[in-house]
Amino acid sequence: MLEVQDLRVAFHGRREVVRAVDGVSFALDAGETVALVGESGCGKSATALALLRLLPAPTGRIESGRVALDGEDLVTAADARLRALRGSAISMVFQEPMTSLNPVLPIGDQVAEAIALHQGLDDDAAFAAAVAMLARVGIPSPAARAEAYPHQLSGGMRQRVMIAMALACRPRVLVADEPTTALDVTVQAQILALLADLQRELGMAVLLITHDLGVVAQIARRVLVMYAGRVVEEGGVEDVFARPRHPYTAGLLRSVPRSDRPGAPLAPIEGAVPDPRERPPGCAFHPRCALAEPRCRLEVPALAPPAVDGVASGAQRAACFVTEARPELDLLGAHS
Amino acid sequence: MTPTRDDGVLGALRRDRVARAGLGAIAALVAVALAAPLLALDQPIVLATPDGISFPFFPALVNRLLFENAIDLLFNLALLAAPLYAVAWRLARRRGLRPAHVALALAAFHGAVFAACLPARVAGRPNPLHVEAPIPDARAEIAVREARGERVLAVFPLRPFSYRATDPARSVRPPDRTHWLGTDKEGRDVFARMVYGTRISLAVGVVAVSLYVAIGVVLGALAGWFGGRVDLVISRAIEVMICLPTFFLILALVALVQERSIFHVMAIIGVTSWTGVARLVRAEFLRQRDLDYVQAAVALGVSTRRILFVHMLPNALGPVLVSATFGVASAILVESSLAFLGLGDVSVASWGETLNAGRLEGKAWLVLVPGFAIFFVVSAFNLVGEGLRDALDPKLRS
Repeated sequence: MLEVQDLRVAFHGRREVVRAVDGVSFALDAGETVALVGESGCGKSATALALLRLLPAPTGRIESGRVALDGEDLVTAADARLRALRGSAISMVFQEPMTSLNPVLPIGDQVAEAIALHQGLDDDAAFAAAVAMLARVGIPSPAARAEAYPHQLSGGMRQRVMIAMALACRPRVLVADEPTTALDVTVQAQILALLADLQRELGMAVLLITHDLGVVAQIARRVLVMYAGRVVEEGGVEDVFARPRHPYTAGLLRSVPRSDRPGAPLAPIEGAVPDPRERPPGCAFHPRCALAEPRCRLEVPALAPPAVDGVASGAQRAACFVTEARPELDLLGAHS
Repeated sequence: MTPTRDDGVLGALRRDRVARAGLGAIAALVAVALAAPLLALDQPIVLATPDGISFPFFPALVNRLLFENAIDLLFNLALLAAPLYAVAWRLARRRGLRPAHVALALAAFHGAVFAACLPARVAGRPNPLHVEAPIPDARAEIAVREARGERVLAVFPLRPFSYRATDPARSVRPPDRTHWLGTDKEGRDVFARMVYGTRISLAVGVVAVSLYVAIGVVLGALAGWFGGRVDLVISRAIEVMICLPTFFLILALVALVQERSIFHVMAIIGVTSWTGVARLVRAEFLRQRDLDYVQAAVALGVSTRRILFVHMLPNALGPVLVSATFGVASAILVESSLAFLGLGDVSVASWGETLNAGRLEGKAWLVLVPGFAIFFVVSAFNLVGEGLRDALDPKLRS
């Protein structure tokens, strides 16, 4: 469905160049939810924006790589073709429902716009379709609410409208950039349930970008862990959470309370995410890694090939010399 | 799709007494401009003689010898068609059509009729809509008939004077029962000139400001959205224009035009005054460019033109609207100043021209009346502008 190969994104400032995404590859199958997790500044949002070529011009640029949607490369697609695909084949839900809706347009018009644009309906038909979509995302009395302006809705309602906008044309791929971060916990659960529902109904692939491991556990099947612009670990959610193969993943897991390991002490990862302008040589995580070996300072570990042949999408793999050499190591137990 | 500010702005404007007074004054000025022929025209509305009853007033409204200026024609057509438009509006509303669509359709129809009346010849033949019938001197004719002992009944507009008819015998008369505001040097009725001057002032204000708002919005939007080299070129152009003192630039340009018409004045004000709007819109677009809802629109595949003018422009319109309201006041002032300096269109009834005549003759009524009219209309627009600015400021609105 969606195949990302060796994606590299850089932000060109006046003096320096920030390499936000440094060779990311992954694939999304129809109907599956993949979570992309990592700390702030690890490049996960830049990856998401790059998929739809939404990087802020002129500073943000895709340096190289391929984003193939059913074999069609979005990186090199003509602008008109890209516009036709955005919103109809690949859509995005943003983090801030409070600011992602245009304050001066009624929400029905905003949802109808995408429908009129991609499905060639006239204004009235598109508006009717928009009302139906608003009903589908659980907005009460949708016909009346369609005339409302964004400021008249709560945050959760607005995020539902955003989802209605993004999914109105039944895209094959949805990129959701922290869709629940700005919402109350109770509303978060509703929105996640709604997303999961719609995904089943439309059979689309969802790339969920988040830093919330609880959300990952709740709705994703596979997880990609990003650190300093690279994917450091990939695998099925249960495998990765139970037995991380990268020290960074382990650090992330140890820094959140877990109901399945009651009493385990919380251990924040020491240090800070490296400045993307001056990434350390070798494995970018080595300055913060208790297991770092001399080799980690010199060479960049590659994401290991899938351990189990044939089941590439479900297999767990990590970019770490240490666990590659000592597969028996239990990273979650090592420091407790 | 009608972009509207939230209802709070209109509400706040309505609650502001000063702004409401300004709005009332502007409404009154529009009414006077529209009804000018009912207030002053030398053609009787009804003329009953032994030969029969006639209504010379109505054909006179579209007679290009009497109303040479296109602005007068536009307003006269609006006056003639006003009952028709009112009925059409009612019917359309009853059928549930959107007010904006109905207004647009009526305006388009009006514009089409107006444009059809303008040319004297179409494809080499006389234009049947372009009326240039010779106009009888109604008052002289009535006097002749009454002298013959015929029974004549004539109903004139409020004052039976045209703003253009000169009369050397009545030069510079002070106000009296015939000429309520006196006459000027050419013996033209000052009341009529004041009434028709309303049309000129409003037309200059609206047309000149619309022109420069259009220029400013497009340039500002392009500069703010594209940034980079486009912004560099437009911003430098703005800076160069700002360096030139606008009024003297207008003076110089107006002086260059031969056979000046009021439209030259509008165009020159329009093309010299767009910098303020361009800077406002550029700043607003720069701010909005990276906002989430613009990103979201891009992510939905909306075209750049639609994002600029449907999504971003309505959000930038508040400050532009305020600036345009003040702009109308200053455009009216500039036109009056040009007419005062003798650089206006001599064929139209400009308040500035009467003011200048008063200065030359040293007569109080010729100075005070147009002076007050200019003060009144400029103040009205400024009051509304300030009310609008306060209403759009969320800090003041709470």
